[in-house]
Amino acid sequence: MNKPLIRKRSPWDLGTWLWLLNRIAGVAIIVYLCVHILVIGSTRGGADAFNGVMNSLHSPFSLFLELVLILAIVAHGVNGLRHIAIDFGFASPVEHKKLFMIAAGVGGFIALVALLVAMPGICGA
Amino acid sequence: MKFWGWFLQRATGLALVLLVGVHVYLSYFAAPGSPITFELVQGRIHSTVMLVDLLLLYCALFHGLYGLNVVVTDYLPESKKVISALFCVLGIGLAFYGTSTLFTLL
Amino acid sequence: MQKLKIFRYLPGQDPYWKDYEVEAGPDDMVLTLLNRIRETIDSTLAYRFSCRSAVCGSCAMLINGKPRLACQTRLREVAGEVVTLAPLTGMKVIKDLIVDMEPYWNNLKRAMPWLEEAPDSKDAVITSKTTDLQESICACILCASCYAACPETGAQRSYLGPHAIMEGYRILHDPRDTAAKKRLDVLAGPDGAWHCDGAFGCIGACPWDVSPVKYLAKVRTESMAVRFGKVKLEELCKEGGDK
Repeated sequence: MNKPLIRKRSPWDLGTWLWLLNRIAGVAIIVYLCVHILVIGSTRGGADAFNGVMNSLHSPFSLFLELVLILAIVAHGVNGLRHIAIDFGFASPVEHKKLFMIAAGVGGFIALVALLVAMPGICGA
Repeated sequence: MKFWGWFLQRATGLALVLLVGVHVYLSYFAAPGSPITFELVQGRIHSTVMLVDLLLLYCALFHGLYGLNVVVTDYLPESKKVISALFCVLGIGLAFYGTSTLFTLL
Repeated sequence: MQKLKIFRYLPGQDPYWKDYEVEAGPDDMVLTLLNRIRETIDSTLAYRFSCRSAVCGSCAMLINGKPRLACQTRLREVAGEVVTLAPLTGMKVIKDLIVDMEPYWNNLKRAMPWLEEAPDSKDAVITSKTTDLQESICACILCASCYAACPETGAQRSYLGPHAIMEGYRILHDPRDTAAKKRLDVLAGPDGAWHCDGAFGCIGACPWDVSPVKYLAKVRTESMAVRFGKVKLEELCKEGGDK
């Protein structure tokens, strides 16, 4: 009858927020990956099957999702590198905020370049 | 065991930074704007060393599903064994499926 | 006057937030306000405190969502119309702001934070490096703020927690200890330092800036060095850990 009450944690500073966002990005990417493997798998049915699937997926919403995916990949990758730097002793955890600044700078730059190159491609398609 | 999971997560993560970069570049930016057709995909796979695509598939599946496993078992700690087993099966299944797709396209 | 919103709970009943308003100055500690409330407004309010000087660790709670010591948090640091007080997360709430610390203590014991001495340990050499490390880690008052801030700890999870691994690391690098292998197997075992997923909540939560994750990272890199043969465990322990 008495279910014990354990209150859930909420993020309240940079590190805890980044942890949560990294997880969200990671989940989004792996879900996409599973779908991606299955979609590419439709090539087993030949050109018609694959082209059919691609046409049905083509929509402004899916283009928007692709942009979100690019951002998620860049964010997750750059955050992951920051973790790896700390995990293998290249940087101390107490300087994780400084590492974040570097990561955000690099990541922001890559994301900007990626989006600028992808935008005409996505809009043209 | 926990150590190797942790270690491989970092190792595959590092590998993926490279592999995903190469993959996105080859698949997307090499011919931006062209509609994605069967011929384009097949052409791309023929032009890349198979090892790169296979490594990408296995690293991404391990890294992604292991990470998802950690997240899900965080919320359902009592069912850790069952959930991990399910993710193993899913991973192996998708790995086989993806591998055979790649060889079919070759 | 200061408005407070305090978490109230009795087992078997639904939790709720209760509003209080009490006289306060900007230099008052949150604990002072709690005592004022309990003594003049509502004597049913339950919370732990003891030393009132940030050395016992009893009054750790969530103040405006962040784990802090009530006796060390001045009102002007938590500026705002309403100050929210809630019990530490990740542990069972016993009543109001009091949580069950059993899992925290049990995990600490699993890290064996005591010396296992051999008869000849009086030959152990204690250097300034050793004492630096001991002093840094002994600043910990075992308040469980880091344990509550860490998203990986929890009642149903087996992770030891930042506090336990840090205390274990302290003894690991005490030259008088003889159970290094057994200890490292726990600290770098299935419930050990590999669970740290890099949220670094413990850094901001610690009232004494001890940053347990620093030592967690060292447990990881040192255990990898031993595992991959770069260094022998006995030499590692003799040379004293990094503070």
